[in-house]
Amino acid sequence: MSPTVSGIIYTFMFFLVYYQVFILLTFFEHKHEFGKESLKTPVPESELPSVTILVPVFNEFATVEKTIQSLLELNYPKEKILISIVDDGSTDNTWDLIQKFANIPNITLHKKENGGKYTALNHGIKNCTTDFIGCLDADSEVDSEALRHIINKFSDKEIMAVTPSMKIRNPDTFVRMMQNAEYNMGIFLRKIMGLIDAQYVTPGPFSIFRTAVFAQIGNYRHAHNTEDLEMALRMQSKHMKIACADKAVVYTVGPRTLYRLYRQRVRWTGGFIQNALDYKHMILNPKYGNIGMLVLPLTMWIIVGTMFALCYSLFEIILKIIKTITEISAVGWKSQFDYLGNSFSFNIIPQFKDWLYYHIQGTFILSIFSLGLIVFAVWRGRKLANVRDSKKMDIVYFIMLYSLISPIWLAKSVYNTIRRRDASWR
Amino acid sequence: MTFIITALIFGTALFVNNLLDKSRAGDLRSIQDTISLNILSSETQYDLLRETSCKNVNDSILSTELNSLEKKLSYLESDQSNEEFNYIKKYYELLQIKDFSLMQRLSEKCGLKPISILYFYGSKSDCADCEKTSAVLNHLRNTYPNVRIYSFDRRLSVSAVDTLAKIYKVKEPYPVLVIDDETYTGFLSIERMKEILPELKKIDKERAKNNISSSTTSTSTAK
Repeated sequence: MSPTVSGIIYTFMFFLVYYQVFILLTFFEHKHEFGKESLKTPVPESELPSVTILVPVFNEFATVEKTIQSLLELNYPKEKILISIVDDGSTDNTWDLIQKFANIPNITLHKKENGGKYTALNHGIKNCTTDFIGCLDADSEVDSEALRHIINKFSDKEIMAVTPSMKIRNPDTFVRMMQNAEYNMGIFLRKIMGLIDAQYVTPGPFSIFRTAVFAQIGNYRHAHNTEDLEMALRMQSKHMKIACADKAVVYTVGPRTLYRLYRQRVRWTGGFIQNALDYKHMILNPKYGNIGMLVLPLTMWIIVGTMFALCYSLFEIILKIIKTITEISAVGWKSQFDYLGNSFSFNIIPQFKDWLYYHIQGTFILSIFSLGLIVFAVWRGRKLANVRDSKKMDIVYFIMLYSLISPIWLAKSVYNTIRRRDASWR
Repeated sequence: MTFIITALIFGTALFVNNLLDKSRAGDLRSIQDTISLNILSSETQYDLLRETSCKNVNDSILSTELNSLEKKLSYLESDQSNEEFNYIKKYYELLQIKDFSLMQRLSEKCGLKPISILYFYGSKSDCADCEKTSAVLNHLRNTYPNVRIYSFDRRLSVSAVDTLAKIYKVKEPYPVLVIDDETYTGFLSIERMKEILPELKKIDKERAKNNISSSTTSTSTAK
């Protein structure tokens, strides 16, 4: 590796390690907050506020029923939950299916022309009469105690929105198991972001807001099909606090296949990049605290660094392929094998010890540290969310596969950003 | 606090990196010292035998460590700017010349005929066929361990290598191979190499014969 490439990679890794050390120190500083039961001082039943939950649907025939059922099973006074289902012009039988809920007193159904998820949310906000409002995606289900945990957080009058912990429901394929580990890590990271007032997304599934937020800063926008991200950044830009209720659990369906995961992440990552660029005035601006000085710039830096590492790796792979083709054209297939006595064999083991010895560099050691921190974050996230299943392979899939496939959707997101193309919602 | 801890972690990684670099360089120097010792021992043995017969002399007195060192150097080849690496590589080339020189003296005195190839190469941009030639020579190293291949990087300024190049009238363009005092410019395929070195074909025939006889023996045993 040339000194220039080495220097760039070390610079990238320095900031990556810095970010990770910061997260670790924040965890140790607030360790007492982890594992604390948020309902130790619950809001009395009589003081529980009314909440509107919006459920935007578009062709959600397969999942919407379970979503609504989970809302009906919330441990919360029924008369204080208003469920507003907004059909955004579904073309399947979703509208017919949800008619079965039409007669339930606290459920209202709305149908509108297709305009995108954010338009469905805004339609619901327009008709909202409660002091609190939230959203639940129609492919998600909420834990029965979730709303109690979230409303408890609003005891602090400065809190304007609260985010839940998201988990993957039934991780049955290796793609979903991979996401399961990622979401567990996300539970830990969201808790940390909440503690340092640096959350940059209010996830669609069950983020609850004070309705006044929308009156003050406006409704949802198209925001490159990531309106949940843009809303959080807008709130942060107006210095509105967003807390995290880690005990409030929402189960969501992760994409089943790699291709679907890729499409989802292209939308998410592209949305992050484009929204971050829209809010670039916050980056490295001390006025915006940890989100401006740390989270946004470092996350963008990680994206840039990953793209550089991807390009460099592709370059090295191409060189290796050219070298292999040259060797095979000069010598034949035997050039890839060692001669042992009477026969050729592909014997990597004697060389591996030497290869390892001669290729371990400082960057390798730093990568081990980063990996260790990721494993720690997944473990703590599982602990925080009381994960009791024995799915240990999910972290293996996550570590082995994410580093291989995430650069691909990252590259596509960067490409889309440059070309100003938005990924589709569905 | 975050910056201090990050700097500490980074410092540790860089320190370990330096330690590994020194250790690797130390390992290479140790191998070179072994080779130097082997060559000195062989030269001394040759001087002792000058007045006596050659019956105690055979190929095995020549250094067999050179191939192992060459492999390790090739792993570090990409790190061209490393001063330590360039120094080690120059020393390696001098050792090769000493080994080659000893081999020639033994050949003259005792009639030994080790197969040797001198390989002169340049930078990738000036030497389109160097990659293919390296592949062929690596294959020969792997397949015929007794073939001694001496590689010289003409980008390094080693005066002994310049002298060797002058002796054999080695000029650009590279690659240039010297086999049995004959100079060949450009890429030589394996088949062409075997035509120039018919001993390789003899080795192939012997191996084929051994393979047949060992499979015949095992068949008889099976019966």
